Amino acid sequence: MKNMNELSELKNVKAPDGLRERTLSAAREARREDERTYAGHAAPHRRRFGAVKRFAAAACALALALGGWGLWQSGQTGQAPGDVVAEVISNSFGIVAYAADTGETMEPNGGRIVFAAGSGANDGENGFFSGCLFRVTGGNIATVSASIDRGGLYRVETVELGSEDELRDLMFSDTGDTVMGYGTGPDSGIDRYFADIVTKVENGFTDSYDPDVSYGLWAEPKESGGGDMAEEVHGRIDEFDGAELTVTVTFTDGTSETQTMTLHTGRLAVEYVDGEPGPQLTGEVLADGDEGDEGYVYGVYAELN
Amino acid sequence: MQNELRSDAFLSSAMESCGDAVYRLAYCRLGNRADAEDVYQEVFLRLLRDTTDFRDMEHLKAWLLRVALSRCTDMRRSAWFRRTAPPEAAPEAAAPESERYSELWQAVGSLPADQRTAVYLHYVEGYDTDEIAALTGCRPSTVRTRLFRARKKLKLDLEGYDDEEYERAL
Repeated sequence: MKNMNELSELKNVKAPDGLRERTLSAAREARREDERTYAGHAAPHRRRFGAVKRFAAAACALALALGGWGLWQSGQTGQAPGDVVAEVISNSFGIVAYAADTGETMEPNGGRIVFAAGSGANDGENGFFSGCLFRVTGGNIATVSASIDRGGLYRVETVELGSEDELRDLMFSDTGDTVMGYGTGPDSGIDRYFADIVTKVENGFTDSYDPDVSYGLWAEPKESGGGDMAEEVHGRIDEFDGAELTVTVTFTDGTSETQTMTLHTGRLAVEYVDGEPGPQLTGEVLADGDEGDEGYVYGVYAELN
Repeated sequence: MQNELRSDAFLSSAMESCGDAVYRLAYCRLGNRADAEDVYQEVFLRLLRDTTDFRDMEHLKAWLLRVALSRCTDMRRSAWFRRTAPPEAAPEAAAPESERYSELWQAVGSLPADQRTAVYLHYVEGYDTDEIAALTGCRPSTVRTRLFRARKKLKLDLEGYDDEEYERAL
């Protein structure tokens, strides 16, 4: 393929034969179930086609991946193979860096996570919101708890609002939280408005798990020394050097898992994207004195313990 | 109180006009036929019960694609999904084109999921960056970054018509 426009040929790909008819058939069944329900008849338990099919596919593929372990286990315990598979694959936990200004996540690479720092704020009253954000990923997570032994943490939640007026009202409201907003305008034909609500959290907080919530590194408010702002921010960033960040999740079955990481500060390689005003992290940490192919920013990265 | 469900005629018309786009987007996002078919069915069963008064077919299509993306995201979050095999071969098409589609899907499939979605919606479905931002719930600047990185990742020649189209999309 030599040109991105060749991708438009994929528009000729059609949904498989029979899928439309099967979907219409499922719709008719759904209507019949509704009629039975509202006519006072006991409705059979509704099993979604999609869930049944995925579960069966999961049982087959995982059995292959584990060399038939699931089937062997079920033979020993008398459990159905599907139950064994569900038990093995249920819980998982990971941490990714999150760049709020691009919406990109960056997974750990070689046991290292590089944090973005494009959406921070240094507030003399409320503290230093570094913009170094992370998100928790995984399966069957019920709660998230985190603590850090230097400075603190804050939470960022993105909410969708109904209108530009609602966004404006939220941004100027006195909730004690910091609110940053953005949206697509009427010119695009589709109006959507979002706000990032930023809240300082207590060390060791516990939240109900939400995969779209980010957490960031925070430091105490300090009065500006009046000197070079870049150096001042570097100094604030360096407050996190050597800090230990601990994240614990509790799964829906009551078990928990903890991940700790040691934070470091240094030069993070960047690249410049056409049309964008600022640099974007590549994920590489540069050695002292190395300025990278397209430059660097001074920021925070973590080594997973 | 029982909500009135959409008719077979409505669903059939929606699938006729938009079903292939829903399927392609789900396949692009999830990388396998079985999950794409699941998403297709779940999207139209959700339409069955939805009460939105759609302005026109484009409005309906945007709604369907947003629901499909949301469903794909839910599936991707599950622990099971992260353990699935890499994307399988392209969906079957008419014999002379199947190898071609396979090559194109492989190219798209090599991208991270968010870039893949942006590339698909822009180059296959023809949405501009503002529309993609609204569909995916992110900033237009984020979409532009994803498209830029996708082209860079695919190491394509950026001269000529493709660059002009990109500039128009900004």
